[in-house]
Amino acid sequence: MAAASTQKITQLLQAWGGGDKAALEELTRLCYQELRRIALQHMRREESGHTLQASALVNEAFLRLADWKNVEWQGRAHFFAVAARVMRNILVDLARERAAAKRGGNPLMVSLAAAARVPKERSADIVALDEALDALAALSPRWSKVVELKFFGGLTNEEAAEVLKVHPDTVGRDWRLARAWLYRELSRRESG
Amino acid sequence: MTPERFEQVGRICDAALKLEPVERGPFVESACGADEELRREVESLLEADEQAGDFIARPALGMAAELLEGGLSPLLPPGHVISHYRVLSPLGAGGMGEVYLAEDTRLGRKVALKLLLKEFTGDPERVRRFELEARAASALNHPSILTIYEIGRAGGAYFIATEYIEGETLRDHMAQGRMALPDALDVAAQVAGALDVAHSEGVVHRDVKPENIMLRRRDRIVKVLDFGLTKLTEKKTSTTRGPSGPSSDSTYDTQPGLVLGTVHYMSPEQTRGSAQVDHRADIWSLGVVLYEMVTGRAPFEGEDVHHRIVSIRESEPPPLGLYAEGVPERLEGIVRKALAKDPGERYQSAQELLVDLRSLRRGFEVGEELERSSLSGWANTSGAVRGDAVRLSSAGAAGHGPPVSSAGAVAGEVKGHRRGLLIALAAAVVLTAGAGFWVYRRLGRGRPSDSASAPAPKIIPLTSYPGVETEPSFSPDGRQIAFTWNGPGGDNYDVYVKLLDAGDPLRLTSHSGEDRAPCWSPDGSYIAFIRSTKDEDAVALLPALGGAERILHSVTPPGRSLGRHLSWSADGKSLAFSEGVSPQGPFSIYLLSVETLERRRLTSPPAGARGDGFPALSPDGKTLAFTRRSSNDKDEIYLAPAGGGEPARLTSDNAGITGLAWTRDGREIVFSSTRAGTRHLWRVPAAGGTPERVPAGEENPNALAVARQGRLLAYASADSDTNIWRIDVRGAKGAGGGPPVKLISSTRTDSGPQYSPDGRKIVFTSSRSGNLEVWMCDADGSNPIRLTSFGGPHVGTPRWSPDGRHVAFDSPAEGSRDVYVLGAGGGRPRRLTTEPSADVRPSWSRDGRFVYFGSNRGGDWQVWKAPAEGGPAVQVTKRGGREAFESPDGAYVYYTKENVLGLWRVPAGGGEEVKLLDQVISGAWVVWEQGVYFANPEAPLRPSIEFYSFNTERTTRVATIEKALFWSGPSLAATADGRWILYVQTDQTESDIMLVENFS
Repeated sequence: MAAASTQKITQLLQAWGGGDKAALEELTRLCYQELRRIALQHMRREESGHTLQASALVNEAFLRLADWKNVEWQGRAHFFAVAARVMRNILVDLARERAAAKRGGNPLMVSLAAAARVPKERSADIVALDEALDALAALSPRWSKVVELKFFGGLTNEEAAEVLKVHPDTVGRDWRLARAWLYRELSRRESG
Repeated sequence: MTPERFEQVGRICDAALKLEPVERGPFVESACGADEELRREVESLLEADEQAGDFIARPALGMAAELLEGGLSPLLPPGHVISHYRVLSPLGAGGMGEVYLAEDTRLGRKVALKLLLKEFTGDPERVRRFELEARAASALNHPSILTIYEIGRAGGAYFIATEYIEGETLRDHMAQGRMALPDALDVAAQVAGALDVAHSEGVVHRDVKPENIMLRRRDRIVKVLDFGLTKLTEKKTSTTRGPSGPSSDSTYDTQPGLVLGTVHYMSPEQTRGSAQVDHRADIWSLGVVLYEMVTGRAPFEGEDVHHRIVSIRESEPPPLGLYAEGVPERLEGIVRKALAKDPGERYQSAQELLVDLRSLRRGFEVGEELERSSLSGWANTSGAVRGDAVRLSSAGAAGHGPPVSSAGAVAGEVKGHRRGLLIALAAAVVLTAGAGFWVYRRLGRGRPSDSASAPAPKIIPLTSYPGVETEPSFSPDGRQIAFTWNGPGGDNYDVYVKLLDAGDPLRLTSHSGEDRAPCWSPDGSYIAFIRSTKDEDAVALLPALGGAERILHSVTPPGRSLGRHLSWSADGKSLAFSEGVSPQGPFSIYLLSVETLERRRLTSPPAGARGDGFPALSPDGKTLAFTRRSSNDKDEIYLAPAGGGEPARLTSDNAGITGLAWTRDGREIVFSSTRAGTRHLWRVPAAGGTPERVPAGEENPNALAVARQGRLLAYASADSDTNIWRIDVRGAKGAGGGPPVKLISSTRTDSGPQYSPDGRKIVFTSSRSGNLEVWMCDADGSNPIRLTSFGGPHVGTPRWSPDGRHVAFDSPAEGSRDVYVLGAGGGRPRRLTTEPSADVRPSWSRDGRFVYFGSNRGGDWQVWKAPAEGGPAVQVTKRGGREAFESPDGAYVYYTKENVLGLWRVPAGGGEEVKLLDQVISGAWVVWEQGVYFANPEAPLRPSIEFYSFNTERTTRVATIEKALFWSGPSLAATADGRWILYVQTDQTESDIMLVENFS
């Protein structure tokens, strides 16, 4: 990916940090194609015995998207946080677009995101999970964040702790209960 | 629930989870006390924790991968426009994309439009390989190979537009039951014919299967699809590939993570993922298809992929006769031979297989049995299309005559097939439908001399990439152009090809050396080019469709040993090129046999001349045109019999020529010349006459080419901005003092600077007034004033006398290049040397009594010196020399040589020469008090400036220049204390290739 993106990424990060939601969308869009490409490469490699390192995937996308040393991250934690957020966005968008694809829409755009082989229940899950996470954030922003970092970002407890500036044990506890809460929330929605 | 309350819930849950399960109940009860709601919430959450299992336990990335991998694009609605194609209806979908019936809105014809999925085009390297393959496939010309109209990009997605075939796939056809033997043989023979043509062009299909074979409804002609497309789905050494047709359970196997693929038609070597898969794999696959057509079943069965693969590798298929009646032993033999496990025992060519199939088919044709089976829809006719294709028709085309019963399947198919069809996509041409038509139209138009009103020439930019694109060469059909480009990074010249009016350029070479002067062979199969590496210059050969490069001839020293121009002989067996007779000697034209690599010298320039360049053999191959550069750097065009013989001069222009080509009819020569001052395109009859301006090429035309087909001329149009920069190297200690400063600049060329002895003035040459003149300014670049006003002839190398009162320089103002001396205050220059030889690059002795200069007056280049006041010159060097500086103490003369890198010195009073350095080039070095600064030409685009110390005799790097040094003239200067260095940098070089249409 061209180094020309570097400056743009930096600008977007700053804009996002300043509360510009559109900046995150743009960041997501930029990251998306790269991520897709890497994911495919990883899967192909997987056939020959390599495993898909989850957290490596999104990191790699960013690294390739821009020469990340030149992007003004506010440290490693910032990078992880952004990566997880972008990953969440991408997954949710993918699931939504898949639903949208059935209703028509811009075909070329949708084709980029089509995920024909994923069972629809599972993509519905992602959207529901996303909504539940938002609800959880209203109760406990940290729990919500922990899920975002660990589930969407693929981070370890230690990495997530670094982002949240808490002890890794705290992340472990939050994670366990947040998972329980989300599980209950989604079960309720399903039955309701 | 409030966050505060939620936190309370969390705390209690957290504490509970630390306890043994049995202790939790009592704990929660006591912790919540009377708060019933709190207790319910805590218990519910703890319960959920138990049930959650591995809910979201694994990161979503795996899911992301799945989501990302998934793939079918949604259907494009009718009316959707991609490029100039309007979608009419979907035709089908495959692993690589979707296929639509579309209308070409420009040409109003129907096409099959395939959109390639991003997965297959996201990797530029793979796309490149695909394009290479596609180029080859697109060139295939056979009635049974689907025609590609265009490969293009729209909205970031690749699409391929091909011939639209109304018909069905062989898979669909076979679904109706076993095929009659003659029908099967016909289909197999046509496929073999298509493969034969493809293989002879080096294209292997690799995925021959019934889904890739179409039967056209109208005339039952067989079309093989997807040549070249396998490159898109292929992993580097893999055997999996995408399906191109509809899948059915019986024929496809899906493995997790793999692109959908079938192994049924795979040869044993393909199942092993062997890199050694060649055209014989296609022969195997065709054998399988033939088996299946005749018997209605696959020759190699197995419960699953693995068993099938084992079967392919190890089992002998049951005889066809087991499943079909009347199978002749010869057919069994053909299939056996096609399905030999060892490729070496198989048919070695599709041609061999074709011969056997045809021979067998003819047997059927004459046999009574055949008559009875009345193959009306399928019988062969002698009027096969283009020889190789066996047309599937006899009395009347299949669509016309009434179907005959025993060929029921066929006939019924012909009449009643309701299904829409699958589309044919062969390989990918990078040619647009538009381009094809355009070229066709142009070719059809006839030569200008045939028509009274030739249309006016039209100039269109063909390339406009950053950097330098130059040295164009047309493909013989005039559809493509090869050229050299220093790439997006502007750092390395490679050979590229491009279609005239479509698509991105395709890079053909990627060597670290400079690949220049591509020249397309007359049959279109090779591109010859010049490769300059740090070790040698070479004439090299590259298959035009990609493949291994071959060095035909190499010379040392590198850099200047070969001219940058090649020409093929009309028979394509030899290449004319220009090479220095010896490192110091003039250039001559040589003819190199591509087969035997024998080299024959064609021209012998007179002693002292710079030599012969720009060889161009006439279209009939009989005449060699070339330029001969005189000792004073002036070019004239000469013609000589191509077989050897005395050349005759065609022009008397006394000008610089930078490009030369024959017109298509071989009657004239087009050249770019400064014969009228600035550079233009000119043409002159080969029979002699006055050159005329070509009404094109106003923008500094250089290298040029004329297409052999079509009325096309291409030329490189160059523009550069060269300026003088200053850097502070603080006495050469390497502790640079700040960034370089652009000291003397204009939009034109400013070069050849030298500090005055007191360091307060700078003399330089500049073309800012329109012509190159000597200028002077203050040390900070201010107050430029012009010292000369020759108004034409290029002056060069201004050099101060030690007392700062005079400036010596060279100029061809009065014929040959001579050394002049000028007062630093201006005035009329005095000519110092008067010999007819070239006398160049003056510099003063430290005592101011002599002026050194390079001269070829003795036949080869040596350093001479003449008294500054005038008088006969004496030779200083004996073994070559071109540019000299005397050491500050006057003890030695340091000098460079012609066409060879290095720095030498001799004692000023005479003696033996000593070589000091290897990497010094004329113009890019300067002597000061403590040593020599020189720009190392090893990395010409980002050279380092190095310092050779007289004291330590060691070399250290003092600076690195960020851009290309201006290597073609004096480009380095230093203050007497060595602190400030002036260097000449080409800040911007642009050269684009322009196309002249209707050139006649």
